Amino acid sequence: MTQPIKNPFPTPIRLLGSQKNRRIITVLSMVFLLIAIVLAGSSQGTWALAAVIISMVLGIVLHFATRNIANAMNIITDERERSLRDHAHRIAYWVLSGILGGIFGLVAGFISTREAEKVLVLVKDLHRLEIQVLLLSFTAVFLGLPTAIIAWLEPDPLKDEETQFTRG
Amino acid sequence: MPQEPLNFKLARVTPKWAFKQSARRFLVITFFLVPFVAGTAAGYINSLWSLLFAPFAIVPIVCFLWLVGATGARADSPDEYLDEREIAVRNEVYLNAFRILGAVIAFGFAVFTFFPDLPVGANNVFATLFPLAILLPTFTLAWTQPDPLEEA
Repeated sequence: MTQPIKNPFPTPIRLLGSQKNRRIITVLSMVFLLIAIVLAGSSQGTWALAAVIISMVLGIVLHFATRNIANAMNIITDERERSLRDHAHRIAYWVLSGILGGIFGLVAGFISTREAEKVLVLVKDLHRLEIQVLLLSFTAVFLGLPTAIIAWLEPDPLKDEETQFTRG
Repeated sequence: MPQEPLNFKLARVTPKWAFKQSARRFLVITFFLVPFVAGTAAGYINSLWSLLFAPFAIVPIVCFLWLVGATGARADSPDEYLDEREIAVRNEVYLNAFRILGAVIAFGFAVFTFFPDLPVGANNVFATLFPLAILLPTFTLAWTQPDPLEEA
């Protein structure tokens, strides 16, 4: 008689296994990050800090939901996970480059050099809460973007009946 | 039949010696070193004679074009021009390039934190970071890709 083998990689929290829920958390995380940047820009440092912390907590939830594939080493990932991780990093790389390009365009094209210098002087003032929030936001984007992309792309897990392997 | 992308044609005009891994690494180092040395020297001279260093500006351009040719432009090629192995290699290059770019930006923040009075303009910071982000995957691929197999 054949016996079913337990799925060796159960999703830590069953609710997070669904692609729809993961996508909702991803969107919420990005929205809170955007709110944090807007609030930091309008000198509301405390609220901006709260928003970026919420965004980072949601990012950590996504790390759990994706079993931290984005930061997993080669020896603990299979070929499919490795391919997904690298693909996510490729997309994240171009998004990050786009952000850098956008800032470069803004600084070079729309802001006069003197104003750009004022912005840089402001950014160098790391004791200001707003600047700390902006740095924290950048760190959150950098650390969380590949995970967010994986959370978005990873399909729903197969149902238990479909994952039951049989011993021949 | 789809037209061959321009960067693929570069592979044909790249000298043969540039395809070896050691040569590619030499080109990557030269790309950064020559403008740095020439720029620093020109800054110290600080007169009309510093214009003598202007021709050195072409060195990084040639280095980059040869690197694109030597890597077969695989770092920037879309999926339809690559086989399965090349796609896997290209995507892994982006994983490394992502980490390197993050490290460069973090290093920049650290420098600004410890030396806030550095005479560096905002334009210069982003004018360096953005092209670096564009070129970095090719550099990473050129650095890590092993020597091509010799024909029997």
